[in-house]
Amino acid sequence: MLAWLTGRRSKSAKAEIIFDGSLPEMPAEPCLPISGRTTLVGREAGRARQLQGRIWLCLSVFVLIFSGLALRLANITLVSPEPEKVMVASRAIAEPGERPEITDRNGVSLALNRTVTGLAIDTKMVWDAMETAQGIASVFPQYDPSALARRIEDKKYIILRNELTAEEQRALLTLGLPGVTFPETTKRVYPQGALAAHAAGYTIAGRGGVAGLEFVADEHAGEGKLASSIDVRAQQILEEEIRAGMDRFKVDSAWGVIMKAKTGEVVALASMPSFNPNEVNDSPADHWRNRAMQDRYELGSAFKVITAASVIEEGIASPETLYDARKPLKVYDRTIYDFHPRREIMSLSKVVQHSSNIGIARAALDLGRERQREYFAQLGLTEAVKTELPESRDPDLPLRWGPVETATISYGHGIAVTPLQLTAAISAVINGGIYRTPTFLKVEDQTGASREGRQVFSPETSAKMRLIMRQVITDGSASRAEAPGYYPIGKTATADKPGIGGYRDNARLSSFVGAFPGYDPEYVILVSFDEPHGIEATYGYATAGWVAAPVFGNIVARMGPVLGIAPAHDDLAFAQFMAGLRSSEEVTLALNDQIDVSATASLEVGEEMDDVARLLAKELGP
Amino acid sequence: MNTLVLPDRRGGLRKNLAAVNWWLVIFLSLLAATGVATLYSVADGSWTPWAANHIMRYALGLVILMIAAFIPLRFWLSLSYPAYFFSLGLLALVPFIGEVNMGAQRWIVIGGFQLQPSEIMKIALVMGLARYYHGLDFKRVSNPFYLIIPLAMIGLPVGLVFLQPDLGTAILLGLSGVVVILLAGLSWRIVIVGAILGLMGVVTVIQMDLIKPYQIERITSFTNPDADPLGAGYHLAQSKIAIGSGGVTGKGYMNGTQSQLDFLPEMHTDFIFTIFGEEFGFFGTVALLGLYLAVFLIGTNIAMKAKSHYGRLVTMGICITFISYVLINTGMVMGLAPVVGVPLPLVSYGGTVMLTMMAAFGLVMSTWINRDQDTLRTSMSYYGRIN
Repeated sequence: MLAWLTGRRSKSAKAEIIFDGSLPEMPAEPCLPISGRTTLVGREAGRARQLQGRIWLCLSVFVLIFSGLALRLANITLVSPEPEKVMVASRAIAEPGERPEITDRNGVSLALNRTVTGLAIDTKMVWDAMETAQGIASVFPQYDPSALARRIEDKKYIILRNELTAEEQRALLTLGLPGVTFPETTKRVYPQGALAAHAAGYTIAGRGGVAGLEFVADEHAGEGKLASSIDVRAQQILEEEIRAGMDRFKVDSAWGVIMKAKTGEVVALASMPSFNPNEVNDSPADHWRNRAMQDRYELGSAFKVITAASVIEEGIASPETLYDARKPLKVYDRTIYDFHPRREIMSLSKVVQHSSNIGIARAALDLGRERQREYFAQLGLTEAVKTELPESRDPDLPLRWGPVETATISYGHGIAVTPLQLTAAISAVINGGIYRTPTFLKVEDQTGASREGRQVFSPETSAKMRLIMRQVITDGSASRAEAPGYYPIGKTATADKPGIGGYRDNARLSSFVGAFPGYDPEYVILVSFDEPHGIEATYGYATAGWVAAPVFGNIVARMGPVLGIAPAHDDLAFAQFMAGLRSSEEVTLALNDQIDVSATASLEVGEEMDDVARLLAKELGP
Repeated sequence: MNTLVLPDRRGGLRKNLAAVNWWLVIFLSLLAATGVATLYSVADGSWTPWAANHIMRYALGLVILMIAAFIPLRFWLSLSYPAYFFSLGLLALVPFIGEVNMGAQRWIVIGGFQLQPSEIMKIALVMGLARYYHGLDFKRVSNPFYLIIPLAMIGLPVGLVFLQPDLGTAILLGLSGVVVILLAGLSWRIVIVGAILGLMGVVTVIQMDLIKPYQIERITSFTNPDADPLGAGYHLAQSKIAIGSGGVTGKGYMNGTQSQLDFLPEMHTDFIFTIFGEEFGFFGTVALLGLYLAVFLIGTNIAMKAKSHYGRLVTMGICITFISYVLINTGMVMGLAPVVGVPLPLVSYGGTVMLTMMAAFGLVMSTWINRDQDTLRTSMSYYGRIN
């Protein structure tokens, strides 16, 4: 075998006899080869010859491969419009006339059919091609009469225009040209224009609905109306506030989601820059992309809420459990720092309030990889969210989910999910602990009981989280998210954007995810701004507390009155915050925490203790 | 004794400049210029953020090339093993001090510079292998025993890169390493046996789930990119549409719609060929491929003219690495190869690849300048004996 493998052995041996000796032979005049060429001799010559042969072979192979590439290029560019062919939908699509009207949850039309009159020439009926062509050209000067006449003589059915104005049609009718016909077709119209464009989606002739609710509409052909979960009022507020934020912080792209906390209905979804579905092709393709559902991002600190809820649910910690965040935390080879280091031992509640990476990473390490992954799976963060819409994206999960990843994921780095996905997960944290897959169709039963859901956290854990997230706004990083009377709760999330070779220092994703009213959340809201730039009014800061939190606050303040949520009285709200807790002992603990907090911050719970206690006594019974 | 007898020490800058293979420089510059023009177009007619940087990097690269070229090949030869082990060390360090970026650890930061050791390894591996075969007796090349070391030299870095995980670079490293061994004169019989064993290895790897799910996803996306246009095959479907939309002559410079419209992610890096194809069409892309082939041909010509075994192998190894980049990248965007994230050298935006590639061509140039020295390793004793 060896001899066969090294078939050259005998030949080489001969070569060695001939060129015995460790040094190659000298060129004739080794001292003067400066401008001339040296000649190869001996063993060197042997392997040089063989190498040259192999180089030729190598060269031929690569030239051949290059020819193949050129052929493929020719195939792509010259021959086949292949992509069009393969993109054709294989599913059943609604006939244009059968396509149902899409409405928002209150019956406001998002998409409907309109009959339009087109212009076509039935060339077999034409008497005089030139006369016909000149007649049409007199109404539409953009047509060249002689060229049009030639087309007519080709004896094919010609569709000239899809849509005529009444004036144009009248002008053509008065000409009385035989063969000129006015076929009626159905046109899809989006009365709201760019509002809710991504939720509404759009259609492409022959492929039906390709995006958004239009895709769903194909399954409801002939049903008249399709009631979506969208609320144009909330949508309007969301889009306006996001646009205002984008202008203020010179942001190119942003997105937002508003979900019903109890049912999982998506009432508003914005992805900026947007497009007008009536004129899809007027906007760049990039604008069609639904960033809230098709893009995945490392959304950052909002995940701290999930981590905190998990450790509380597991009984590993309570909101009062202390974590040492005095020094950066070393996890194997990585060191975890705080963005705004406070260098103190703080309670879990404060860890979330002040967004301490160190504290939450410690909590996550207590939780462990397996349980962390399990909670993430329960919250729908480990696989793509399946709504009715075609848009979805798999999350980017760490390839190796070890202790380092457990630590970084606890504050939302090293995992990328779609914004809608995170909104649904946060919704489960605060709505009493039930995860419901987001839906874009209207749900009649507003308690959510009719929709399938899974209990991820207990109602008590959820109540504790609401309290913690309330303190984020009253005492923590998001004072600008306050909307008086609605007690919003939430969490800021400023994430460094990944770039080539690590995270970029100056590119951030500023998000805020929260809900209102905080004591009994109705709406969960997420807003994100991609790469905001600090301005003078924010002292150059572009963190979530400065960028996304105020936008969230404005949305709450505007949505509440419009959607009929009354501002609550302080004491009542506070009692409701407490009502979700299990025992009076826990309430006392929570209140103690409040008192601690009130020493340094705005919500002066201490003074209200008596009132609160009275209300609590009523709420909890003897 | 006369110092004039040391050919590799004579000269100075003027002689060195005269000895430079300017064709190579010209074609490399044409490629870089193509990159600048395309990046300018991708940024919608703006020098920022990419085009201007690209020029600066190329200029820096050219300086590095010249410096590397004027260093005697003998010096590079003596540096080969240290360079290889240094790179291997850096690669081994990555899991410990590397930056995690979306699930992959590829970068380390040294003194504020981000460094991708796997890129440096591409040259270091070629240097190390060339050094090994330079010193190896010709008759032993096909002796399986002497194959253990070079295979280990390839296997270690490939394994480390694969674990990062960076499938594209691992394939590139393995490919160029194996080709260097082939060029060194390995018996075809061993090649055949090796290929069979390799095939069995691949089957085992797949059966034992050693490949990450996303890597499988990419490979399946390659076999059927249109199955899921918004998922894994999305890039591929879009890039084929974009290239196809260019037609014969392209839509014209700065007029690419598919790509100008931000349809494609990473269009200034891995998918830059798409934009180029859309704007310059079939003729443009074939011309660009021609430029790459020209660089490859110049390189092989240098390898054939070089008298030292080390120079020949290093030059060929670098040329193979270079051309493999091109093949994998263009194959990828045309749907002929899996999407593995390999840039188009000198055209794609990216500092490490540009600088390592230019440094590598500096070595090629050094081979050209020193092409008449046949036995580098023994040069000292060689001349010593005359004196």
